[in-house]
Order: sequence, then C-alpha cells, then structure tokens
Amino acid sequence: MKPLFIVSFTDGTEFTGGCDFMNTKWKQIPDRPIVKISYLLPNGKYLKLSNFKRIYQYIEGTNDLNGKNAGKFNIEFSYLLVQKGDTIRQYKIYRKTGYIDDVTYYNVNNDYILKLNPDYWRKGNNV
Amino acid sequence: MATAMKFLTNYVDADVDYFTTPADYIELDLTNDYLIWTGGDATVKDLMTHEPIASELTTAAEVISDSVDVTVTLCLLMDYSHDVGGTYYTHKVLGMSENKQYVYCFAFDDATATEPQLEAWDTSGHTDTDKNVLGAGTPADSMVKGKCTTVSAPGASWVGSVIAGASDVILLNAGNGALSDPGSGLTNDLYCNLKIVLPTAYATPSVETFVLTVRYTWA
Repeated sequence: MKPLFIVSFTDGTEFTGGCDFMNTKWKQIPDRPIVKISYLLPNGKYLKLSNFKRIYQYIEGTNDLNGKNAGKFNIEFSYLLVQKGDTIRQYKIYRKTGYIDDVTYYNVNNDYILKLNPDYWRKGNNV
Repeated sequence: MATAMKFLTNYVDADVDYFTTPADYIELDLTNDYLIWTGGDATVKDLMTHEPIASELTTAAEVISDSVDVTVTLCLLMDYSHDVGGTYYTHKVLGMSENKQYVYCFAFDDATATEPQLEAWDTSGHTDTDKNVLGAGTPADSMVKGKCTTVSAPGASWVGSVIAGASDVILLNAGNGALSDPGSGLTNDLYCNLKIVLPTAYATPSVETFVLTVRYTWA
C-alpha cells in the first residue's frame, strides 16, 4: 500500500500520510510551510504540486440509510484544493477510475471555499 | 480517523433534541433496520410485534386522491433487533411531516471537511432517479420532500425542498458549511424533517423502494 500523500517542508523534512482513506493523517501534518506535495492517484501514480499558498484535502463518501449497501461506507471521491494567489484549483479524483474526474477553479471568496473547515488548510511556502 | 455518523429517529418527543434526551431516540442499525413509509392500518402500525411482510405493506399503502395531494401518513422505524420496548419491531417516527424540529437526527462524532447532505436515489448505485417516488426522471417532481431543522423547526404547513439525485439535496447544517470538532465525547447533531407527498390523481400507483444516503467528508 502506498501512502495517500507525502509532503516536503522548507526545512527538508517530510511527512508521510496514511495508507487508508479512513485514516489519512492529514490533520497530523505539522504546521510548517510545505514546499511540495505528492498526492496518490488511484492509478498508483503521484500528482506532484509545489509553490502554492495553501492546500486542502478531503475524502468524500456516502452512507446509505437503507438498501443493499446500507451501513457500508462507500468512498467515492477525494479532493485536493491548491491556492495560488487568489485562485484555488480543485482536483476532484474519482477513486474508482484512476483519473482526475474534474478540475475546477474558485476564487478564495467563493461561498463553497469559505464554508470549508478552516482547521484543515495547510500552508505552502508561497505566501 | 474518518468521521463516523449515527442515524437516529425520535420516538418519544419531537420537541426534544438528542443531546438533551438521547433516550428519546433509536439509533438505526443500518444493516438490518429501515424506514417504512405507509398509510398504515390495523396491522401495519406503531408497535408491531412482527416484521411486516410485503402483502401487509401493500394492503396498508397510502391511497392516491383524485382531489388533493396526500402526505403519507406514517413513517415507521422497522427495528429488526427490537431492542426498545422488548418485543416491538416497529416504532412510529414522531413528528414526521409536522412542524417539529427533532425528528431525524444525524450525529457526527468529529469535524467534517464540507457540509453533510442528504440525497435520494433509485438504488445504492447513486446514478438514477427514475422511480415514481423520485420524480420518474424529473427530480423537481420528486415526492420526497425535506427541510433541514438543525437550527429551527420547519414551520407550520412546511413545503420543503424536493430530494432526488445529485442536485436536489438537503444541506444538513442549514447551509452553514463544514462541521467543527464537537469536542471529546460529544457529537455534532444535525436534524431534518421529511415527508412524502403523493400528487393529486397521480397516474401510476406503485410500491417502491428508494435509497436515502448521507454524503459527507473528512480530511
């Protein structure tokens, strides 16, 4: 199993994420400027990003309240949001196909962005 | 760790929240328990001592009216393990379709990355809304209506929003966004009220199942 992400800090150290979507370890990333992130795609390759202002990641799943899959958590997408300047690029990654399903751009003042959890942003080195 | 969610229904007093009186709520074992929407009769009712069979549910189905829209009378929690009250398999969900705030509860044990939402689909594949109850392919015609009641009661004679597919959903935190950390041992408790409204003289009577699903996120 490969880790979901690896982040590199300005001081040369690294932090490795979890290998399980149910325990990504994103919240345990130390509060230090990130130089680069390698984020695992479902095809086993890493999307590498650097030189950003801040970054956000989350996993999206569904929990059916009835039906044949009721009570079985189903992970559908992961999202990676990267801010450069006042623009945020969101990668929506469909976990079952191995591809980036969609790329969307948002202004930092977009309502969706403002209603994300402020505790989950991590800072980059391009502030 | 990922945020976990419990789904509960109120069976005692729909004016009382889960935090204040958790004993008023039954947590669904989602593998075995389920909701039944029915007109109800002498057999299919609150406090049944057996699991209703298909023929009983068909007999008790709500009747479409030629002159008015009909709100399905009863929502029953089918409690397979009948762990409340000893021998009872069904419990009426109190306050369903009424001006009541604390009816359906979604308790999250941690923060989320975005706002949780309630969706309705034909099946667990989450791809189609072709069933009559979900608008027969036109989500705006869905008979399933809901209103987030996390902040306040739905109001007298509430209409609600249709629920069907990816776009017609109920935001469970009243549009206020992601949930914050509730603190150790606590939960973020979100609420909604639901109802099913059968349109006047609807031409296709049917007994259907559909899937309610909660979509939520974590970091």
